[in-house]
Amino acid sequence: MNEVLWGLSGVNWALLGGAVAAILGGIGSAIGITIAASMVSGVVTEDGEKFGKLLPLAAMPGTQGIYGFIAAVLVLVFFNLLGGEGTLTPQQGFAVFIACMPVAFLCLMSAIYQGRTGAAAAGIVARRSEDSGKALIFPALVETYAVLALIVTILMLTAIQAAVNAAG
Amino acid sequence: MRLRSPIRDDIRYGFAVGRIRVLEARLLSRSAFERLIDAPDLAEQRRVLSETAFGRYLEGATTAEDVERALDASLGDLYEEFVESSDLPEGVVRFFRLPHDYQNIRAALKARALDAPEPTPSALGAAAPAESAERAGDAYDDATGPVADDEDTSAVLGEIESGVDRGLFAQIEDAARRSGVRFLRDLVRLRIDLANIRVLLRANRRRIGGPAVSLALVPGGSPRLVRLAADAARLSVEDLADAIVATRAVPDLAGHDLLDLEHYDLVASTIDAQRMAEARRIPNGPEPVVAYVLAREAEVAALRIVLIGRLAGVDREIVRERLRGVA
Repeated sequence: MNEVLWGLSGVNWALLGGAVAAILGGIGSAIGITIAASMVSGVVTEDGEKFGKLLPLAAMPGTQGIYGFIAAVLVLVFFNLLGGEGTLTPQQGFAVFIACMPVAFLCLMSAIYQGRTGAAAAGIVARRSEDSGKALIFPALVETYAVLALIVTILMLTAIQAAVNAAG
Repeated sequence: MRLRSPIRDDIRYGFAVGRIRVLEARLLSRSAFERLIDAPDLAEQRRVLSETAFGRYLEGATTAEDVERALDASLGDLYEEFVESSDLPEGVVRFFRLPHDYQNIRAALKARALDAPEPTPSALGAAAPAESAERAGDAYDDATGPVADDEDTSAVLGEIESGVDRGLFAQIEDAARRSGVRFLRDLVRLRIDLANIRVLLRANRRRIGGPAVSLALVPGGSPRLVRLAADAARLSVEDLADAIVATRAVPDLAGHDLLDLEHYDLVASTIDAQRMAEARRIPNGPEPVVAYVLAREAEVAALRIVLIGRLAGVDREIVRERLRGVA
């Protein structure tokens, strides 16, 4: 299996896809949490009793990093890359790389926007504690698209795994 | 990348905005001001304010000087604990501090012109008080000179007001530009345009000619308004109003808003207040921070009018009337 596509072997393409998903998801989550947490910290500085109601808003953008991590782990598990026994043609590896892109980019962008929505929602809780349930809904809506991206990535990886197994 | 700037602003201003979302609920309401106006004496006013942010500053205050000191201390803490600790750009901090420097300069110049004792400079400015006084002396020597016996004192005082305002606006415009905050730049430009429109309307009312009007206009505003300076005295008030509206320098103004100076002042403060209200509705960024600090400054100005006005025995209705332009 010494074939390469644009300088990378099939296994390396698959690893690159998993790595990009984990990296971009993680970056998005870090930025999103920082945006939401800086606002939440300001609210808690003036009114410490709201910490419990605000914590989910600050933590919510963290899920995108987890989705990127799940995608990377699935790549390693589905194609036996953990034990170093994985064999993928460059085309198959490139397909795995493409399959990782939805979760990678959607998680990067949705985590940042979820952080911004969470920060705005923290303003609602700061004014009216009783509206904390309503405030959670807006950032949760952004989450939908990160979940859909993860599902698409999982389905694509499953299809590629079936194709790889069928090819022997 | 277009997303980079909003992300940077969200992180930079997030903490301050978070605090503001709690603190703005503690701003004094209209009904609190009504209770303060109706209170029989300062002791009762102190009781009304005891549960607010001003309570600790006004503790034990019995005279107008005590109240002045207490309100200055509350503003000083706002600048030190909030504005300067919130990692705001230097230009934003200067935007808030500069008016106090120029207030010191204004007071010192007027005292010299009237041969009165030098007032104690406020420590709320960006410059050290001694430095402000020194600067005031230099500005006075350069710009005005001593008032001669036969000179019209009110004209000299007017010259001081106009000169200090021009200097202040020039510095504020520079601070706003350096801050990199677009909202601040737009706000300063709006205020300069509103001030210049007032100059044009006053010139029209007093039939003052072009060169004097051009000198009184604050630089940094719409150049289309500056071009009207030559005709301000020649046009009828209706024609001048139409010409001002046609410049579109302040799009919210209508011709009938400019026919009466008192009505214009009310409209101008409403336009400014609307801009602040829009800024407060923005979820994150420099806009709510600037709007909150300006709201706190307006709150202190309103409290000064009520507390010191009532201590001096000013009628309740007059205090109420004065409050309309501030709170």
